[in-house]
Amino acid sequence: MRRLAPLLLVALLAGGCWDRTEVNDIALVTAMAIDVGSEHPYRLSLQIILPQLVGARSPGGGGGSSPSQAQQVAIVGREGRSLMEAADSIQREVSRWLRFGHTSFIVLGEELARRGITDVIGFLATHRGVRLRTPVYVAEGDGLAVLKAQPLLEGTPGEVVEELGSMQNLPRATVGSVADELGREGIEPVMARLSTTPALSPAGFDGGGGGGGQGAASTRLELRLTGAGLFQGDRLVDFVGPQEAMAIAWVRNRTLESLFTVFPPEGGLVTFNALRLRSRLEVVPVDPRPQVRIHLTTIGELLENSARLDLTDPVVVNRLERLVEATVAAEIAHAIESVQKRGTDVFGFGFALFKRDPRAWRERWAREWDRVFPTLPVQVTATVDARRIGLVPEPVDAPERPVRQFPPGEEGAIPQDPTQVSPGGEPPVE
Amino acid sequence: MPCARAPEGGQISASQAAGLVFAIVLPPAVLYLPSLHAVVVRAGVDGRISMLVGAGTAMLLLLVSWALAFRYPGRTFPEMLVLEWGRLGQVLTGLYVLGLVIHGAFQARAFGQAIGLTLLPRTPVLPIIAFQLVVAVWAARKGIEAIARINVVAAPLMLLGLVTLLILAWRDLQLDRLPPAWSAPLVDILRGAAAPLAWFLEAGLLAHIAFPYVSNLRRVTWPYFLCLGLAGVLLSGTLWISQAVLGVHLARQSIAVVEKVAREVAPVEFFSRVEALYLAVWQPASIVEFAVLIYGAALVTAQLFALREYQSLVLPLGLLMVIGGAFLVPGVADIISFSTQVVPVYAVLFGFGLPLVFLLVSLGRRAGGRAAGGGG
Amino acid sequence: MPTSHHGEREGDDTSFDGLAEAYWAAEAQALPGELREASQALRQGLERYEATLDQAAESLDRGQRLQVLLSGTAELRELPLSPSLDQNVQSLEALFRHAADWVLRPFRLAGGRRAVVAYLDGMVDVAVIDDHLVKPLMYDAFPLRAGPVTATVQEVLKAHAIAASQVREGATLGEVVNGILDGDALLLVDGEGVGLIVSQRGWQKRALSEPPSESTIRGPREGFTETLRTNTALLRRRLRTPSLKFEAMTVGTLSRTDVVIAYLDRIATDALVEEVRSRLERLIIDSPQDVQSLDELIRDAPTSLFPTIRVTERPDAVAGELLEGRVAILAANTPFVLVVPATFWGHFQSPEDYYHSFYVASALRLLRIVFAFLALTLPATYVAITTFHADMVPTSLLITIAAAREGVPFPALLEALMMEVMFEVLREAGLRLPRQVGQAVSIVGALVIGEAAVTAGIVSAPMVILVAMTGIASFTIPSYEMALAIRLLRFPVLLAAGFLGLFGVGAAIMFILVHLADLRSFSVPYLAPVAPLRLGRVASVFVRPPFWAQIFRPSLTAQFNRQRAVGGLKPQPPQTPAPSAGSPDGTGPEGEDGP
Repeated sequence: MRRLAPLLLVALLAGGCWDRTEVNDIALVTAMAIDVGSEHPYRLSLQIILPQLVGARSPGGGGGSSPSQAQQVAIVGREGRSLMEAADSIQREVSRWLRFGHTSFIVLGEELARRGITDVIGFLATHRGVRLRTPVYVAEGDGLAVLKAQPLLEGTPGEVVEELGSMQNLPRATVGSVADELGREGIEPVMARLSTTPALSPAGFDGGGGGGGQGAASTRLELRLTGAGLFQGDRLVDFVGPQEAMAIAWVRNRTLESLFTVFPPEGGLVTFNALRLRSRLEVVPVDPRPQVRIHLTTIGELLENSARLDLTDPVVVNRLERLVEATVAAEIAHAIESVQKRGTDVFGFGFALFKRDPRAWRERWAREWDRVFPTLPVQVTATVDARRIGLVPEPVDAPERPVRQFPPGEEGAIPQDPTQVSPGGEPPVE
Repeated sequence: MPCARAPEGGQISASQAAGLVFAIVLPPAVLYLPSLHAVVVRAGVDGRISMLVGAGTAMLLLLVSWALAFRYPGRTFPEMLVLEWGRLGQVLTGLYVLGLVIHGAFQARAFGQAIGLTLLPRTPVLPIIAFQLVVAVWAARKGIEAIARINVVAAPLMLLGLVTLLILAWRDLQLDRLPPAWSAPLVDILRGAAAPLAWFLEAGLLAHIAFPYVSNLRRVTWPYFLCLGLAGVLLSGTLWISQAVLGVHLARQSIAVVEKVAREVAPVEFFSRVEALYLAVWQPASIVEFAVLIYGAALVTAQLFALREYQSLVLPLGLLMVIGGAFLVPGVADIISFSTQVVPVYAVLFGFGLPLVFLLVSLGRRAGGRAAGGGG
Repeated sequence: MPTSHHGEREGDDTSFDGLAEAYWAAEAQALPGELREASQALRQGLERYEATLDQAAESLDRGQRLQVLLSGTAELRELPLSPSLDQNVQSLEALFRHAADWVLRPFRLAGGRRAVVAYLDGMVDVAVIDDHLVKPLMYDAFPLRAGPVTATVQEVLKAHAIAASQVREGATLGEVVNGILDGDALLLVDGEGVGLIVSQRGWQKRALSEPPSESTIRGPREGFTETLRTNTALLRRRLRTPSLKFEAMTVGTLSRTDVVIAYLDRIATDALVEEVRSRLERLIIDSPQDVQSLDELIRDAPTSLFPTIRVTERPDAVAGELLEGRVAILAANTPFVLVVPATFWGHFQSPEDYYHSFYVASALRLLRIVFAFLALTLPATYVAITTFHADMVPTSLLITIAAAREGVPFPALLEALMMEVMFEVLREAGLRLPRQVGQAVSIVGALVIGEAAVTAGIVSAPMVILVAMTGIASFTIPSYEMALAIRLLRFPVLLAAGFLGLFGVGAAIMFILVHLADLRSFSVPYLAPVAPLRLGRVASVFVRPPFWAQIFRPSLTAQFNRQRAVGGLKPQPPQTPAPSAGSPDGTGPEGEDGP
């Protein structure tokens, strides 16, 4: 028995190793674009990074400028009847094994999105190589164009998109979240929108090896991440702008810092930088239309005080908080209304209703939600906590022009509808 | 009938026996296919309730085996069967062993499939199973004492790995997208409790074959049931958090739920995509589980045929499990159906039904006094 | 003739004068004839012994040969000495034929009786022998007056004449020959069938120096030497208690090496001491060259890679182990001492731990254990992750590694194996290099070879870093044997990683764990107190408890007498008495000093 053991082991191990792939035999896919193909239903484009050209550190060769960003990645695209077919035909043409685990984003072309994304998301969610955390974006136009962009600041489009995404206040969609939203009742998917704009590159930037540095600056595509794409079911129906996107993100409770400007009636403006934003959604099942109550809370700081108010005075701060609350509530309500007109419930009002009363949802509202959604009355309230007031609470050129004080008991007027207040106005002159 | 004993009269302590509970219950639920999928697909987000129901029921059912272990101290359950029921007991013991071997084969395949699916896609399942079971066979050869000692390392690793995963999932939790509790009908919740029932009843194996070798049997009760309860709560939490991370629908579609969670949890960019690490950390507990299975099968067979020692049976039985798992199980779908439909029945039958009948009969015969006084 | 007047009393039969009378009378006596026949027995015995040796050399059966030799030697040993000096001298000369260091000095006692002093040159302190043995017998007139006495010349000499403290009698040939071989001097007097063996050993030995294999920064710098007596003295100085027992035995039929079992009575369990004793006593070998052979012959798991016996060169370490109830085995001709039983975790403890503060010591101990684990698994983990689980690596790091590996012709597994083997070769070669060259060659060699290999594109830079880190990690392990075991084991783990990725690593480590879990060292489980778990003791494995917390000896090795210190020794500031009624700043009516 003891003599068998080494034989067994050798037999086991000599069988070969089936999964071993050297790190040089891997092609890292850093971005994916899925479009509608011209001959086949799908066109898959992959952005593959070329390690030997990234920061070449081999001591023997490569002195001189590092190659420009355009050469660090390669873009390969193929069409197929299904995504798997397309991926397979790409694999057959690339000499290394494709690895999707490091994909930094996936972008869906507009045409494909309008056609329907269930199959695509289904494939991505179950494919072993793709991570559920991979961000998904919808492109305005062709997804491939996004991959071809040559952003200025970062090495690859993937990095740019990552950074842009982390700075902006947009609804964050990942493969997992989109898959979940497709299946969940009472909520529709939404993705941030990627688009490309031509930007002039500075003269001589694409210098280094090869070819004439043209005298005139050449155009390159720069990436922009603004707004969002709204889906109904699995079809893209409309794009919305940054305001609505921010509102969507906030109602879904996934949002970052945001800036709000308020205009006190005395004139000037104060900027409120919201640092932490939360929302609470409540949908009351009431016939004939459920009532939606959204309560937003935020903690932030007051900055930029061109209204010359004394921010060290708690009365003033309090008043400003109320002003910001009203402004925020109004802006968000406005944005929500705008989305409601598009007719697709990306906020998850339906799901909130479901959570509150599953039976009522299933029996009464589920079937006609699309019809009811645009008509829902939405009541938005906000609570603002201005905890910080920046470093210089007083205007810089004091004391020649005095700061406004309020006589005790009189706190100034709070406009009912902040959108009616016109910006500008002069500070009082003593 | 001369009874085979563990080497060195191997005695384990009560807490060691209780610690083995984690190694036996957690790996099938967390690591193997189809793991929590079996619960989620039926009960959805209420799977956490199913889990608790299953665990609680199993703990109640295990009281029978536990009582038997106290009634016949120093004897394994098959020994009791043969002692009291003679020929019928031998037949039943044979079925018991057969069940263990088949169960082991399916577990081996489930394990191999789980590792293969997540880590080693192109590797055939045979080397994976073989590697794992070779270590388990060797451990089983050394006796329950050695297994318990290995468990001192394996069980905390399993627990820590799981708890760490759950804690690191904190940032990916999206609790607001979970439907409220009790949104699934009661029938579904109960159906979802079938697989957990089977997992927890496997701990009855400990009561059958390990309790006779516990040096202070009196003190095994509390730790044993406490560990069972803890495992139940932990699994329930795992289910809940897994669905919070993945979303209910995605969880329903994944056959390896916890591994999918391990794939997705990434608190920092630097430490992401580390599911292989989690699996490597959970693997020792799986080895302990297989070791206990093989050891149990070998010991019972040795006792059945009145052999002097059981060590020589360990390798053939392990080999049977490997070959069975690698070649006789057609595919993943069969594993799923086997573990959700066949195993619970078998577990209830042999983990509760048979001991219950035996206990009642022996109470009826008042045979307890005779056996408790007598020895080997 | 000089006289001495000790114990003079009139009419006392055992008085000094009485002895002197009898002595002179006995000395002057001529040997009777029958003594000459009795002396034949010795010669015949020797002839028989020689015949036995020849017969054994010719016989073909190995076992029989050994048996014959052993019985022949035993028989020889039992041969009684002859009263005839000539016979004895002849036998000794026969046995020590062709021994160039053999010295035999015939002389006459002061009264005229013939005597002989014999020893092996180089083993005895010749000056002392000459001064304290030969000279008093030759010169000093011994007793003066006569009186009836029944003592023999031998007894008189032993009791009154030889001014040495270690004297014993030898009545058989075996005893006196062994005595001479041990390094003592033999005194034979004509007419006596008993020889006196005087111990004045004076061979060259190494001075106490710092043990080279276990040097510390802050501890004592004495290490054991090759002389057994020095070593026992070093231990005795540290444990000045009658409980410290040294049991002597000899191991080895040809070498007759002195082996001493040291333990603290009533702290080490009797069963353990008995076990050690019996395992040593059953050995029938030519010669244990070093304690390594003893180690392999008495350990519990002869085929295991892992050391179950601790080997150390430091007396302070051994003293500490004895205090915890362990047993030490010292042997002549080696400065290394075996300590049993040893657990896995004991090999990660360095005596240095007890000379630093417990924070530092605990941190370093944890570091050692972590790095020992890394030394085992680091190359395997790297190979597993880069070839099987490349997803795990952060993207930028993966790109860097990929860039570094461009153009390297070998797969990662092969590269790792090559580099690790290369490292072992360098390390082994470094041991043999002469000291002046060694340092430079090893450093330069490693740097140059590594750099050149990377530039040539044979290996990748990350691999070089990895191998260096692994090597450094293995150097942190205090016990050389454990470090060897781990170094060897990293190759199978590496192979397993190369075939099955992290799963293979896990399975391989479990393999090792299964082996360790069943190992015992003199009936103590090898992985104790981690497995089986003893919660109270686990902490002391990974951290070094402060000395005021070390109240009990570890229960695994000490079963009675477990308390070694009282509790409450932690230094506390003195409790201040309640402030007296008066000014709060302490200047009370008692007249304390001002601020």
